[in-house]
Amino acid sequence: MLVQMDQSFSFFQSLIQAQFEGTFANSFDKVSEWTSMQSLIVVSTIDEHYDVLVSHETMKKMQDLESLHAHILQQRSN
Amino acid sequence: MAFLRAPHVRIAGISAAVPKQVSSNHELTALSTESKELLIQTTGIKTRRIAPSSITTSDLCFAAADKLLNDLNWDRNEIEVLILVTQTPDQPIPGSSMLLQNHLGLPKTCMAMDLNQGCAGYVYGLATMMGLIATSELKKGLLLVGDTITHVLEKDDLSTIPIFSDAGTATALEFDLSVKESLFNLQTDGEGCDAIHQKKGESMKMNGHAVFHFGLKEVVPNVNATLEKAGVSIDELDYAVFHQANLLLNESIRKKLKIPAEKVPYTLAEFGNTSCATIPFTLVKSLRTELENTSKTCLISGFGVGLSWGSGILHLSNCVCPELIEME
Repeated sequence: MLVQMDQSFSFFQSLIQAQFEGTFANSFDKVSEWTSMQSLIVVSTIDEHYDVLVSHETMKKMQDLESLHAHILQQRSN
Repeated sequence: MAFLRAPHVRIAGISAAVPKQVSSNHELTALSTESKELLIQTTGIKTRRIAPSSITTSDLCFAAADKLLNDLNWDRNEIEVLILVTQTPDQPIPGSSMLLQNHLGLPKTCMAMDLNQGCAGYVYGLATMMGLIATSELKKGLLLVGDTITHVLEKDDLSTIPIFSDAGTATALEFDLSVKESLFNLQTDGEGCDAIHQKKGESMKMNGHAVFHFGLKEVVPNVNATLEKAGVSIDELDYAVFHQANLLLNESIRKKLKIPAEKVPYTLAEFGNTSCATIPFTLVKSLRTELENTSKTCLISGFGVGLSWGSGILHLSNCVCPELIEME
């Protein structure tokens, strides 16, 4: 049986927050020490839950979690 | 697809050697405590083994091979092929496999060659060696796989220093009609050659994001194709031994392949990423007792510099695995 994926922003936000024990800010410029490791954790989480592979180039263009979520939904609809 | 079938070749033994010197990621002074914790959590690497300049790749491989040959009680005159997989040979010319042929006391009737491969190197080396033995009159061979990769790193480079570690390994192979066929699936994408590279006179550089993206994209389909071609299901695997890249990437791959955690051993925490040596090293360090006493069907998968990647299905039984050697 196919399980319907929750595509809401709130679900996406909670997924990312869970990786960082709730310390991850929505706006990327407010994330303390926005390091490569944090970026890789976000990429890995998106790949695992949405089956969308986000490149480093795309990650660099994203301003916040909202824009990243929109990008994921767009990739999934293609 | 570059599938290789290698019937009737037995892995008689595997051994590994590491330098005794330990370096801890908790002692990285360039990072804050918070960043160090995140680094250790993400990479899964707490400590690494560092070879002093006096210990070379061939020293580590020699120690592993010499111990293995003694424990197997093999007549060295019977060894007809030696392959050394490394990116850090002792010297540019001649290849270090020639030095090792002499140092190990192997006969002049033994062919020897170097294979320049990184993280996929064990899979490439094993496929090459098994293919040679399966399709020729060669009966016994020695595959040496190792790097002193820390010797080519920039000491302040935080994208490589906390990850890489040194090790040498030896795998002894012999023709044996009773052994089930091994199967390999090898791939290459030279367009990604800059992801991990070392230019002449420079240190090795790594684009962690590019390597991570490559690993997530390419390893799973390669492994699935290998399993399908071999007619082996995930359930039928006893173990899946992956190149020890970093915990985040490896666990992402494991979850995508739906392989239970108990079937996937890790040596990252204590020994880091030992480049081409991670797979044989992990087989010896994590599965030594089981490989010595039982029969196991194992998936191996290596991926990295090149870009090169590949996987294989091996049937291991009564494999001699000496205890890990530590060199001073």
